[in-house]
Amino acid sequence: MFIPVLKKITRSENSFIERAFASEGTISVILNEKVEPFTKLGETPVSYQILDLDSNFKPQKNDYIDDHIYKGTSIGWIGRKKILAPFDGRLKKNENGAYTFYEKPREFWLLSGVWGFVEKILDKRSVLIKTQFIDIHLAASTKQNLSGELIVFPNPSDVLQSEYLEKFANNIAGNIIYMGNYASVKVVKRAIELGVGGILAGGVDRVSFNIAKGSHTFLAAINGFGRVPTTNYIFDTIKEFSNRFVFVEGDQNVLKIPMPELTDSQNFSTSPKLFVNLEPSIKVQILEKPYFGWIGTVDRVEESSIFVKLEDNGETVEIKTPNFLALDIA
Amino acid sequence: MPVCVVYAGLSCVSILIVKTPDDKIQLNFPYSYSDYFSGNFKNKKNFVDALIERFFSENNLNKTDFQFAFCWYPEIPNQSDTSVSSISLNQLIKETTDFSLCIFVNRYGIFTQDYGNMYASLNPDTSNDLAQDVVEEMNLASNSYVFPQIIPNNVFDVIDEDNNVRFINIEPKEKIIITGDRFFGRNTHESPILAFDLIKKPGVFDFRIDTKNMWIMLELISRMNEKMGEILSANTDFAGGTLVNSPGGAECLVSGEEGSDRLLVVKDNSIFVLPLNKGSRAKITVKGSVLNTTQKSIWGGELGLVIDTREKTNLASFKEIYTQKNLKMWEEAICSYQY
Repeated sequence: MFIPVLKKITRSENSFIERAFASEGTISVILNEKVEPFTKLGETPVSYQILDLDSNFKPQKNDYIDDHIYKGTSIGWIGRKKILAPFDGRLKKNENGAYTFYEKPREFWLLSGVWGFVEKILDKRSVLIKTQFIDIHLAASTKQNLSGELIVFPNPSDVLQSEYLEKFANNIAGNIIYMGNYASVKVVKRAIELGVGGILAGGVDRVSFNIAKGSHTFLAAINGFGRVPTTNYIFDTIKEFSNRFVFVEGDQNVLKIPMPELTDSQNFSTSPKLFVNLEPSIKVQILEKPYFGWIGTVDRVEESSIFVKLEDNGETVEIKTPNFLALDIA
Repeated sequence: MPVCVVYAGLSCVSILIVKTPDDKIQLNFPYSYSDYFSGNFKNKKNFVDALIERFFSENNLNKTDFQFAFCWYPEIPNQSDTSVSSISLNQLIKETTDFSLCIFVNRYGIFTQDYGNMYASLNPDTSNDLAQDVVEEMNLASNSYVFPQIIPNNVFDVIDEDNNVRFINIEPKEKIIITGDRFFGRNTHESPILAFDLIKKPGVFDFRIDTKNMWIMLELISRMNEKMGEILSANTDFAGGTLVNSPGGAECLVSGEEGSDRLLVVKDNSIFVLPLNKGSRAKITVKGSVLNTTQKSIWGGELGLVIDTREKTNLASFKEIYTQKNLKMWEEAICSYQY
């Protein structure tokens, strides 16, 4: 019998990534230019804060619309309640007749985030870069695509996880956090309240997934649903790239780690094998309770099950066929 | 021309190569594509192509010598080669000329010639004070979605999963074939019980259970070469027998070919199995509290004569009697015969 090979970490050479402005901007790179993560691709004015006003809002004066207004100035009324400008900015009337108050735009620098070459410049809106990544394939994720700094918690216990979250609170907004082996519902909720961009963990509960979907926050289970630990070789790889600017493609279930160049690593192979014979000594990932997500080495193959020597504790356990997958690691 | 037929299902893939009716090779692969394989396979079509490549190479066969036909679940992939015969499972079942009722079952639902319900939604609950067993159940359902090949490794999870389809009411015919990913490669005693649960109407039914996706393979072959399909169908063995559904209890007189008579009295809420060897014939006369007196000639089979006196048409009461204690008793009735 042969079984499929699961590749959790792969190299992605000659990849393309589009870095886009929120609105039209000024591009400061040229075609074929070599870029690094901190290379400025261009800049565009961006209002970082926006206040959508109630449909009953009445402006103070019509002259105010599109004029610069200082913070604290009265901009209008909602019923009898006076509304003050929450920041320096402009009041604009939308197509549907409602009003929005935009913060005074500031220059936003769009950085490359990756090593590579400028392949294409699309109008004044985006830059396409040819680059290379290490891809970590996730078991499941919500569908958002985003980028941010990867902050790695050191596989702590559930209690310490909350401590870490609060400790890093000033630095996690918009970033992508690797929480550990398991992110509980409580921790996921708190992370969303603190404004994280995305959450990664070895396993998460389905309930957390539903919560993240509802709040449009990226959430990924690396190995599956429930208390499913992150396999050591994947954690080692993630840890290696702590604080790196990374990308997640939720629709593809992939965490993409930009690389200056791709070198061979012990954590992944470039073997083209798609299937392997089920025989003693191959490495497998278990997909059966209570060892779901654990990895081990096949010790013995029976007609409808296999015996696996677990990597974590050396114990040998029986696993029903086909509740396992071959792993592409040495 | 030799043929190769392929069924690419939710949780398994079967490939049957037929050079002549006596020279055939089958691969029953207990895995199928899921997005989790994206590091190695681009899509389901790519997964199936790689599998065919591997199977042909292992058997020193050349793909160009064969005429191919595919059946896909749930739909034919966009990447499929339009010059090769491909059909979706739903369409294959709708277009069958088999006069038996085909009940196709996977973990998401059931298809028959006149019924289709393949939607099982994941629990959308967001509450953080759910009972641990509810959380576990939701996680198991989600893991089964991500890793479709998983077979539950304990009887409680099997029952939970089967409950997605168990209480669906379908109109049976006299002859029934039960197939699909749910029965693929699973010869445990929960499988025949699920098959009996699916046939709810009182009556006498000739049933077969397909654990190798053979029904789909034979349908694909018949569409390409009717004569070859007929020969292969005649030579294919399915586990089967006769099911008597008689809610409330039954009295059954079984007259064997050799002239021996045996009277069976089966009380309410039971499953009773009488071994009847394959190829042997018998005549039964059954009377029940709901079932009118029925006489029928029956053939033996791997599962013999099964008399099921459970009330299954009233779904509310059926759910009520589906207790661990009862299930154990029903399993014992089948085990005592099978094992």
